[in-house]
Amino acid sequence: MKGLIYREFYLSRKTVVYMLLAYIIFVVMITMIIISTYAGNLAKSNDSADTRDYLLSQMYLYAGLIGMAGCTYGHNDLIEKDYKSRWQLYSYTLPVHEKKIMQSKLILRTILLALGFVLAVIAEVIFSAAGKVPVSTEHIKNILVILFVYGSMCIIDIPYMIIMKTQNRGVAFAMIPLVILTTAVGYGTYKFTKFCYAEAARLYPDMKGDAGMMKVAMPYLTKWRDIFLWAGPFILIGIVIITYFWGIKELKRRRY
Amino acid sequence: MNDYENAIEIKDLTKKYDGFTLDKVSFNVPKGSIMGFIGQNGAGKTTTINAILNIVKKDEGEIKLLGLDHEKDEYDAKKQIAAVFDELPFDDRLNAITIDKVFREVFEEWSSETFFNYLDRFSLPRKKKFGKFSKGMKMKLQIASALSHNAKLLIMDEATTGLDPVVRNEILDIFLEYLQNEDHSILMSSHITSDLDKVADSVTFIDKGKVLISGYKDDILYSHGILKCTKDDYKDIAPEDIVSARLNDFGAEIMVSDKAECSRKYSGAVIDPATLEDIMLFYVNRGKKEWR
Repeated sequence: MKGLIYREFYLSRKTVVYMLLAYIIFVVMITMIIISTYAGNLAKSNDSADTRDYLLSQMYLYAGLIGMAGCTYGHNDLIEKDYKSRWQLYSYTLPVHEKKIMQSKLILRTILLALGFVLAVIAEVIFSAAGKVPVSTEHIKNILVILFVYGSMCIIDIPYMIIMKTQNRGVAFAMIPLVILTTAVGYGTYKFTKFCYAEAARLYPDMKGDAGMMKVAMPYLTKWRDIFLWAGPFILIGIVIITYFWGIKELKRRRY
Repeated sequence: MNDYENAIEIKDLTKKYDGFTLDKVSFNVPKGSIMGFIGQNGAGKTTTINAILNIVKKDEGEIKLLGLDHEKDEYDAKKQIAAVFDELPFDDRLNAITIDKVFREVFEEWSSETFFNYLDRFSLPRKKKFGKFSKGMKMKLQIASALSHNAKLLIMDEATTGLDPVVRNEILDIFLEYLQNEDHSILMSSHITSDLDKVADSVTFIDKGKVLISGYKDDILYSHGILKCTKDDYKDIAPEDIVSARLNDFGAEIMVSDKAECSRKYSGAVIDPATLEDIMLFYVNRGKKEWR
């Protein structure tokens, strides 16, 4: 199995390196901007504190996404390349059970995902240090939410790609449930926002702009996030188990 | 250590697809020999090979590899088997050093020394990406990796197709060298019959999913012949002696499957020796009986 993991890592490594470079550039640039809000040109601006608060509240999410998506992207499209190069077919001639093939794919995908998570946390630590604020546990919780959501999608992608064979086909088919899901989430968000505005008008009539709405929304969002933080690990572990058995089944089914 | 007489034993192998059936295919590849597996495109060669390797699930029949059941003992058998396809199944971004590292962990008996010796012998670069290799280099690399884990059985599907005669010759020499060890055997599918004329000990000819001929090459070549005669004489040939006949403006060329018997029966007729290509050509046209 070590050989299979090595092969998959070798073929994914360039994309990981390029994305790592993008991550480093992003983190360095944002860090410099944050520092600049109190020790550089931006410090002269009246809204420098707002700029810093905005960057600290948002940028760790983007850095996390770049880290996690970047680390796993190269491995995501490897199955398509294995079909093209006929490795997928050739692997059936090797003395390797489908279980080992799936294990090797899962192990590497999980390692890359964990690396992405570590990068996301590092970005939060760097941004906090640059902003001279303590590392936010709320931010770490949000990063964990990204890990559970993106991680689940990223892991289940393995057997899905074994079936779909190409990224184009995979994306095209995924669009059907995604459109339904996005519409449902969009509608839900609209209803929730409308509710929050109505509540804000009733409870905080003096607050300007979206501040009242956000004040109403935040307890709900925090509560839902915390519920998801409890459920997330179970969902992710469940997805890993489903992926493993589904992947083995699909690899066996490829033997026409 | 299991003892076996035939490296491959196939009995009544059947696989049904929409529009194509591999119909009760049976043949044996004796240990220590090289068998040519011939037939036109779409005859069922690749399906048979895929069934042997358990890439394709058979519907019926029995397959034994090195005395082991190809399904129950799949992984034990595959440790001792190497498959070579018509195209390199390795990613273009890999190089020989990486392949060595991968296969070192996959095959218990992988020998890096043997692998790199083959690379040196074939003048293949170690660090160059496979995407920059020529077709001949890719095939040599595939053969180098196939021969580096002490495989007792080499299964090749159209491995020499598309290669120039020089490279083909070089590769055929390697196969003959590999067969110096009497435990080694080769099943080689090809429609380039001249390659098999050179190296094969036995031949199996498949057409439309059915085995038409299987046996020692010399016996097949000895028993078959091309009877040449005029159109008038052709009418006197008994239909049961004719595999098929190629007619031209000057006369007829008739493939006979019992040369000795036909020599006696049609004394005076010229019966030329047939090549594997002739046999393939005449058998493929057997349905028409007469063709041009």
